[in-house]
Order: sequence, then C-alpha cells, then structure tokens
Amino acid sequence: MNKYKINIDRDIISSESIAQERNFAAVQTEARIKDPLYTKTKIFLNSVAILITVAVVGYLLYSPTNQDIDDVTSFIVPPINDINISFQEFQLEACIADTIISERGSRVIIPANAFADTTNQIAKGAIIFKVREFHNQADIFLSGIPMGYDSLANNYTLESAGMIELRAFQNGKELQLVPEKELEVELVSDYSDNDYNVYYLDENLENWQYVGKDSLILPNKTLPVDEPLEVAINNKDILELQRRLDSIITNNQQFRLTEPIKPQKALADKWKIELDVIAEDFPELSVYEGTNWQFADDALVPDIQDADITWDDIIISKAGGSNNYLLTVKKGSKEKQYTVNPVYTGIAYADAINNYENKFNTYKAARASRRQEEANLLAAIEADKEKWRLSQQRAMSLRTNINNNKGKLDRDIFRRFSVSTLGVWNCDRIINTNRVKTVNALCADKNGDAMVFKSLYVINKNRNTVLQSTSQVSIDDVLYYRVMLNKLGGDIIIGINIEDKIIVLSERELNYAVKSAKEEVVFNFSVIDKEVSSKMDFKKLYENSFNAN
Amino acid sequence: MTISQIHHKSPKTIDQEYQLVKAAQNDTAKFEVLYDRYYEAIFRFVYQRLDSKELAFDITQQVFVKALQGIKKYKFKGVPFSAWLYRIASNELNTSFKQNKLIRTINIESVTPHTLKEDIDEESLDDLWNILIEQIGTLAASEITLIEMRYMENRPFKEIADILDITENNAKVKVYRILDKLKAKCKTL
Repeated sequence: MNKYKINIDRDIISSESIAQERNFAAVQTEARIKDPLYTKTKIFLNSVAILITVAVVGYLLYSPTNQDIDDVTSFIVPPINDINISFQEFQLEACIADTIISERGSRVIIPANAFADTTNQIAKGAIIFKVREFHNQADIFLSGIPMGYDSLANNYTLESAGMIELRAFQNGKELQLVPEKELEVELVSDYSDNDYNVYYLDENLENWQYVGKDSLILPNKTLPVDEPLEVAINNKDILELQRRLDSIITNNQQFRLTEPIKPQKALADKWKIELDVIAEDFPELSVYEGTNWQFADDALVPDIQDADITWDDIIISKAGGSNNYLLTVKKGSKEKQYTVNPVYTGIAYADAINNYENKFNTYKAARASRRQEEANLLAAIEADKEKWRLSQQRAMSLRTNINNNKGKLDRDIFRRFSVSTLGVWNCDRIINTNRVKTVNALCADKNGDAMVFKSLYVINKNRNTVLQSTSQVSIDDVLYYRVMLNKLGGDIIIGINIEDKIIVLSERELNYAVKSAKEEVVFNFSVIDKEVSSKMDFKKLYENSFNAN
Repeated sequence: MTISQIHHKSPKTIDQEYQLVKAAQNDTAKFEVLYDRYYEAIFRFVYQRLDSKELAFDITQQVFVKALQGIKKYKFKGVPFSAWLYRIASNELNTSFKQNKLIRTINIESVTPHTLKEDIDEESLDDLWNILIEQIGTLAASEITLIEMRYMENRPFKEIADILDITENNAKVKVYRILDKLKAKCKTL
C-alpha cells in the first residue's frame, strides 16, 4: 500500500508564471474579512458533518462579539459548558515593574512598560493582568487546551509539568507584550524531572511551538525573599524633582517682586519734591521718569526750610506699603527721613500709565507661564510620589506574601522560563510514540446502542496529559473511532456526547474491552446523569473511574 | 534546482529583514515587501508536496493570509522570517491533507542531486539515489520531510533546522541515519 503519489521529473513552473499569480490586494482583503469565528476548531476536526454544523452554530451562539475581558480564542474550546479554569486577576500600573504571585505560588516578574495595544502604543495607567494555571488532568481537560503537537505531519502528545496562561487587558481590550520586553515566570510544578521543554501555544498556527529548556528550581534552592523590587520611580528621583520645584518657587517669588507698580497721580493739596532717580539702583522706578515725590499721608510734616538745603546724600529705599519709599537726606550730622510716594502730573501721568500697562502685560504673561511650569512640576511630583507609594505598597505586600508562604515556597518545585508573548505556556515533554498503541473501536452505550460524540479524551493515571481522539476510520462502511491508548495501561476514556452529557469508560471496562475483543473492540460507555458543575465534581468523577476495579 | 539562496543570510541581513517585519507589524500594507520576496519560495515549497498547481496557488494564498493575520504576534528568534512562513505553509498543507483527504505527493528529479554528492562521497551514488526513489514511499513521514528538504529542495542543513525548529547538528544526524538505512538496503538488493 502506497500512501504517497510520486511524480518523477515533473514539468518545472517558471518564475514568471508564479509571479503572475501574485495578488497582495486579495491577501489583504481575505485577511481582513476572515472572521476568526468561522475558522475551524480542532476539537471537531474529522467529525461527521452534522456535528461540525452543530458545534459551529453552538460556538457562534456562545461566543462574545467583542474582544472583551473574558474572551478566549476559538481554538481553545472547553469540553464542558460552564466549567472552566478561572483566571486570577491583578490590577497593575503598566509603567511600574512588578511581581505577582499566584494562588498556587507561581511568580511572574513583569518589567515596567511591558504592554502595548494592538497599534503598538505602550499602555499607561492601570491594567488588568490575568493568570491561570493548569497542573493536573482535570485542569487540562476542563480548559480544552489541546495537548497534541503537530511537528510537520508527525503527531505527538505532550505530557505537562505545568502550564500557565497569561493575559493583559486595558479598558476591556487585550494587550500584547512589547517586542523587546519579556516576563520571567517561575511556575510551580509537581514534577522534578529535568527533561521537560518549554512550548508556547501559537494560536495563529494552532500548534505548540518549541521555545527551549526551562530551568528547574528544586526545593532546597529557596527563593530569594529579600530580592529588591525594581521600580520605575525611586525616592531619589522624587527628591530631585522636589529640589527643582523649590528652586522654581524661589525664583518665582523673586520674580513677583519685579511686578510693575501702577503710577500714582499727584494730588494738588500735597507737598511734593523733585528728584533725579538712578534707574540701575531702582529698576522698577525706570517707569517714573520725570517723577514727582509726594509726601505720604502719614509722613512727618516737612520743614519748608529743608528745601533750601543742599544735602550731601539722598538715599531712597523701599518702605512698607506697595508704593512707599523712604527718603533719607543727610548733611553732616543732620539727617531727616520722609515717607514719600512717586506721583505724576499731566502728560507724564498718561505716558507713565501707558508704559506701566505695557510692562504689566509682559509681566502678567511671564507670571502665568511660571505659574503653569510650577503647577506642572508639582503635578509630576505628586504623580511620581503616588507611583512610588504604590510600588512600595506592592513590595511590602509581596514580601508579606513571600514570608507568609515561605514554608510552602521552600517545598515547591519551580520551573523558570522567559515569556516573550502573552498566551499559554507549557513545560512539557513528548510522550514516546513507542509507548502508545492505536485501537479502532466501536462506541456504544451500556445497551449496545451506537453513540455519537462531540469529543473523546483518553486520560492516563500516570501521565499528566489529556489525549484527544478525534479521528475516525471507515472500514467496510463501518465507522470506527481511532483511540490512542497507553501500552502499559492505566487509561480511562471520557467523552462528551451529542446531548452534552459526560460519558465514561472506566479503567477496568477499558481493559476488559481490549482484552476480550475477538474481531473488533467495542467500548460500552456509562452516561453520567449526575450533574458535574465544578472542577472538584469532575476530578472525583475521573478519579473514581481509575479506582473502579 | 539550486540551493535556496534565501536562507544564506548574514546576521546583519537577518536583522535588516526584521526591520521590514517590524514595519509590517506597524502597518500591514508594508507586508507586501515580504509577500513579494517570499511568494515564489512558499509556492514552490507547497507545490513540491502537492499534485495540483491550482491547489498549490490556493494554499500559498492561505499561507500569506494567515501570516498577515498573525504578523503582529510574530516574535523574532534570530532566524530568517522565511522559517516562520514555511511553518505556516506546513500547517496549511497538513490541514489540507486532513480536511480535503488529499494525497501527499512527492516530486522527484531523476538526476542525482548535487546535495547528495556533497553529503556522500561514493561511487554508487546514482544507485543510492535510484534506491531512494524506489523506496521513498516506505519511509516515515518525518524521514520523507527531511529527505525532501535536503535532496529535492536542496536546502542547507541550517535552513532545515530553522524550519523544523531543531538544531543544525540534529538535522544532519537524522538525514545521515536515513541515508545509512538506504545504503544498507542498497547492499541487500
């Protein structure tokens, strides 16, 4: 029997002929219009046509229309409606490096600014990071994550030492990892063998992709509990910003002193004197060219004879009050002081007001700009202080969590690997094909009536995997299910029938069916009428099937 | 057929190509450069495993549709972008074999390939090639994949390793084991 068609020296197609078929616009159009809802789900491959129709319609009815937080890929289909492995959610600040510890004790170390949206914009602010883990057959079965590994037409089954699914969302939209960022995962494992590899479930290719080896952390190698937490903002940065703000505030206070003073009109009934003012010493008085100095209301009454004295020295200094100056005149030991105000008369007043308004407008604009700069810096400091506070809070919580769980962490085995893209990651190894055998079986209920399945799975008590059997073979017009069993035994078969009921073939029944078969193997399944509504219910069900001897 | 030049790339060229990939990740219209570059190679890869030219064009189209849909999730691993495309092509072919019950085709040239001459320095080279042609249907699928890539598509071991996600050394070991098996058959016939 030849499974291949062999052509020898077939005509070669020219490059020109191939190039004529190129049509990138058609590829773009098809890529755009292809709705993932219409893509195949592996669970139904090779099933009869009517089942495929039912399954796809069912999926369309239940699938969410938007990519919301609970969205799952169409490729991963949980076999039992309403029971799935739930996610644990963490609210994180996208711009702060962080470490989360799952309920099982696995750690995910997340660098700062690691997430981006679909347009490659780096996410800022609060995000939701979701984690779920799969450690045993119940987890694997209920999640619907396929354990088949297709390596260029060679089909293998993967046996897991632990799987983890990581997702991130912001405002209900799924995020992805920034290309140059990686998460570090330390996955709790129940297995200490070092021949497991790391695979990533490529949901686009609908296949596992080999990534590399994990690194094993055995129980005697305890985790560093005092590991410093990397934070994007530290206290030093905040202090530096604070110093900058203080300096700006001081400058602004000095700047405020240069506010132009509104010219005052001279009053006819007040005493006045005329002085020449050196503008460099009193720059704010430069607007007072041609100024008259009018004695202030509360000033000493001037002695009229003082006007005839040639004084040796005149000192003008700022006095209390917005427009008061202290005029000191000296001659020998004689010294007098008057409180005066600069004032204007006539055209000089109009000019001074004009000049003042121009200078005040410039000052006002500069003041607004300085106030804005001050406010911005203050807001930045407050934001950074908040980030720092959150990171400290997280660090404290992490340390508390580690300390509280220290005994537990010391006992666990961890598998460490780097994650370059969000999704499902698996530490697993390929089951040697020499250890499995294929059986073509007829499937029926206890009464011998033929059964039709949506899906059929083999669970082995010694192997941490779930093997999905979807292929069928027609021999003399009879449809047989091709089921892969372990040569050393220890298998049970669990399926979901067309009525969405769980059906089970226990280890004892399976062994008997295979051993007693004369011409053909017949599996007589039990239909489980009892409601299975939780992971615990399901776990009990399959554990009892192993023990039912 | 000559050795595929597409895979003979320096790290610098691979990096330059990655810049094209990054551009396509930001703007899918820029994927056209990669489409034009690899269209023929992917078509020939697909057609090598099929009997129908029309079907090979259809599957090639699907490979690029899938690649375009998945380009944002592509992660650079230091190997040529083509390795990723070949993997998508393999998956598309396998899906077609399963879903459409297509017969896997092996297209062979009767002239002894130069890659075989590179790998084995023996006088009975042509005999070995003829035995291989006769016996190829008896090989396992994974063995056919390796023989096909090395001697029918004349791919360097490095490229085979990248496509199959194995080490170059492992690719060599596997191919030489198959040749040893065939040589043993050659002696008994």
